[in-house]
Amino acid sequence: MNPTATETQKAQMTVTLNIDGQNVTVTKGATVLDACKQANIPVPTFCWHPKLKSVGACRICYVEIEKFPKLMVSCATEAMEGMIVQTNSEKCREGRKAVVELTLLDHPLDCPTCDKGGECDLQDISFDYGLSDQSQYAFNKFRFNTDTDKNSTFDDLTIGPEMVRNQNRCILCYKCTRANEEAFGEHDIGVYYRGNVAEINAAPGGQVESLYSGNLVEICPVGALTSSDWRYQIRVWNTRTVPSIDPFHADGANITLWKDAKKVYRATSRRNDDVDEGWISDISRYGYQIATSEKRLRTPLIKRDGSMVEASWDEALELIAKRIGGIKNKYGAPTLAGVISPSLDLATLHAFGKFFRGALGTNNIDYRSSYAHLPDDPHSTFTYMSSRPFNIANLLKSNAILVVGSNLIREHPNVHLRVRKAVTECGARLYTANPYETKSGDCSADEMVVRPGSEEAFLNGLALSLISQGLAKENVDVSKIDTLLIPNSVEACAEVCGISSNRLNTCAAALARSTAPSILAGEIISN
Amino acid sequence: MPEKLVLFKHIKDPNHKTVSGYESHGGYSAWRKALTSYKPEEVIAEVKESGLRGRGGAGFPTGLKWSFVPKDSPKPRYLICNADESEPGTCKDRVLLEDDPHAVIEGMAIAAYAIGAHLAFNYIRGEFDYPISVFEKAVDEAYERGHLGNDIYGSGFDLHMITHTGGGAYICGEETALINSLAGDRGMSSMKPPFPAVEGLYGCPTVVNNVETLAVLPHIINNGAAWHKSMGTEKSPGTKLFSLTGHVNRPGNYELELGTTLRELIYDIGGGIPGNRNIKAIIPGGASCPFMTPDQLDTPLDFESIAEAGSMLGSGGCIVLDDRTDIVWATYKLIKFFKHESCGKCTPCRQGTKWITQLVDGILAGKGNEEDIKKIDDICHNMLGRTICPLGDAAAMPVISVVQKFRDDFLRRIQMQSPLRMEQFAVE
Repeated sequence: MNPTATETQKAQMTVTLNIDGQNVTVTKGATVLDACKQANIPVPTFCWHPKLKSVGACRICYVEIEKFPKLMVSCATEAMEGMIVQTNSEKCREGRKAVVELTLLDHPLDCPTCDKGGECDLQDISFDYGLSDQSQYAFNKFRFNTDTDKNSTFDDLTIGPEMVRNQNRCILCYKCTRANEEAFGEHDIGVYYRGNVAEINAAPGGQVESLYSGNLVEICPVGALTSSDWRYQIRVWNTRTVPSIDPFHADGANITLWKDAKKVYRATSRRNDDVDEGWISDISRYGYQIATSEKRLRTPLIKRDGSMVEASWDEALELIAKRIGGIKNKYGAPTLAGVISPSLDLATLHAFGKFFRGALGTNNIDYRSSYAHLPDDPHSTFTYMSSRPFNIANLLKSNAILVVGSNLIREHPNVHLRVRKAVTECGARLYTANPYETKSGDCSADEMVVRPGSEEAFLNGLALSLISQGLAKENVDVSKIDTLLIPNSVEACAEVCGISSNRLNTCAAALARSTAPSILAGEIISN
Repeated sequence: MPEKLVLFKHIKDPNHKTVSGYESHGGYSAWRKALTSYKPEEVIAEVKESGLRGRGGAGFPTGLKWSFVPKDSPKPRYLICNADESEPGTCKDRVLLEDDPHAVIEGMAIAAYAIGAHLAFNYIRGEFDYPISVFEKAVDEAYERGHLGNDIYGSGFDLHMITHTGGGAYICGEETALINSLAGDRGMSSMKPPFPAVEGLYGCPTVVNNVETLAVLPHIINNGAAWHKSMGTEKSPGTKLFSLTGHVNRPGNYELELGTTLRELIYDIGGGIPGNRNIKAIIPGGASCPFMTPDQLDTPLDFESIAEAGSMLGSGGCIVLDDRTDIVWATYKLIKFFKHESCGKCTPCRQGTKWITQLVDGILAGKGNEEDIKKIDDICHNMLGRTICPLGDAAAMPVISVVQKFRDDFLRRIQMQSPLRMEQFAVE
């Protein structure tokens, strides 16, 4: 391809617009707000979120565009070639000022007692665009009250295990309900009533308790949703942040820990599009609490006279050395074995291995918490598969995804979200095959519940189905395959795994015809 | 100009609402004609040529709206009949649904054929108990006679019709909110673009037309575009239903050629004002239109002339207020309605309508001051053109016109400094 052709092609894919006198080139389909963000031009937002569809509800992101008679909301206006955009003109500021004024009509302005204070979008934007003198609003503010005091702004209502809502602070950006439906596929939070008395609350008779509910608190632009761990604990400006990684899941969501000298107060997401898109599961978010848990052991315990008694480390180590040494001397090293948790860090695991192999002279080491783990034979196909480079973000490029033997939401919450996004936004077809129904099945084209332990038959069925439909690759020798597989026909496999051969055929064909299939195998697949 | 009966020709015949009665008046001949001797594009061309403009309020050319449906889209298309008639002062669609349901069905069928839809929805306002039952019965009859269903008239064209009842929200008359409501979501409007013609119901191309617009279609197909253009004015051809209410001697639904003047509608057809009183204000097209004053009585009722006069033809719900009317009270009733019906999605409309309601209420309670008038005007201008859907405009426009044209009434009310009492409205 010659360079001019590439350039023309590139020009067709991009648009160039002028923002505040600065030329900005963005990909076609990007909004004016995207262009502003790209050029580091500040535009205030409430209801906009980088990973959600724009709805243009809050109206704070007004910009003035030449040839448009009205102020336009930049989050929902597509950037066009040659647009001339003003983000800080007089008209713009007037428009935003009016929006801030209207937004604050019913807002209690209880910043001194609000946990969002210091990191609140409304606070920041009010400083930029709010009135400098007294409000023009001469009426009593509308109050949502759960108690009898009609003037109180404290209508704190616990709507989830870790979530507290204060409707008086809410500015109805609908970010929580949108994220819950769009990104997580949950419906446990919603809007009641309409107009200026519309109210965010948990679904009737329920609680907001999905695995991702903590994200709703995090994206709330005001203090309407707060989480139980952060409430009334500390002010945000008294904390320091430390970047970290979620220690509870193998997909390693990026998190930020907020702490002072004594303890950690909360964990929030640290958006990394390759891994988590800014959504983290509640286990990642609230799991840090075990570090300072009251129930946590602080000293070793030694069993004396039938009960566990607190002891010092010296005593404990001495006892262990004595007992292990005694066993080794009496019965020999092979009688010793070590079991270690796989969720410990690599250095500890290495030291553990060294200690058992080198110091004690035994190879009996295990880290598996159940029988349902993959074999650690370096020549097995599973090891080969799991060492292939894998990028969570690439799931979005797949157009057919098969999940076998994995309750994805439990094992890898972020992979689950990405698979869900691939299906709901990028139009991929998802097939799941598990011994029980899973959350991922909700958005799948076919949720196949196989008989427990029959995943092998299921996969054999898929392979045989490919061959029988003539979809196997030409360079693969399929002549002897039926002698290698047991059972050796699609129908027999269907019989064993409990999925009809029709469904196997459809799934196999969808995967084979896909230009970019993904197959995710989880820990249920096992033995 | 006297009444010109096209849609209302057989409206008084009780037999007309049955399929046999409708057929005996030449009903379903246009549907048969369209299906057997027209191509879809030809139907669109005919309607474009006829100059038919949407009767729901905005007056957008119907044929043009249809032609926005992408021709190459692999997705199914849908036609929706907007029978969520909730504009205060408008009651024309109700009459059509009650007394001429088959004309609506025939119109829907023709429109569905033109855009290539095989499924048509009629979204009827939830409070319309009786019209719903009449319409559903009519749909059943049309299925029985083979006007709907599979392979209609042996042409191979399938069309099915679903009646859906709304929950009774004004906002659901706005097309994006209607589509959201029909799909089972909250009845809240969405940003355009994407327009429903490209991405509407269930993300598929969708056309939403008003009941009256659809009911005109059989006449256009039967009589041709030239016949339709011969009525009305050049840019607003055809007839239009007007719902005349308020202080008039003969309120009711009347069918007139577009271009008839307000004076003719109110005095010749509506029989004038009771007790020969003077007119104080006229809302020409439903509650969302700016008020007009008696000196504008000679304005012709067509889309352009009314727009020139600073108002809108809207849905044709003409409300006449005589000189006894307390205009501040009327404004309060209006804005209270819009406050109640604001869906709460975008800030200016949600909070603006609330604030204006409180301000007007304060003036009525004798607690107002002159600055409140300016404040009301300011808030309206912060709503106008700054909301997702036209409800914000609908609330702001009449109020802006009122505080401009009837400022003295507001000042008088403010100077009284005493609460309004209902006895002041006692009929003389």
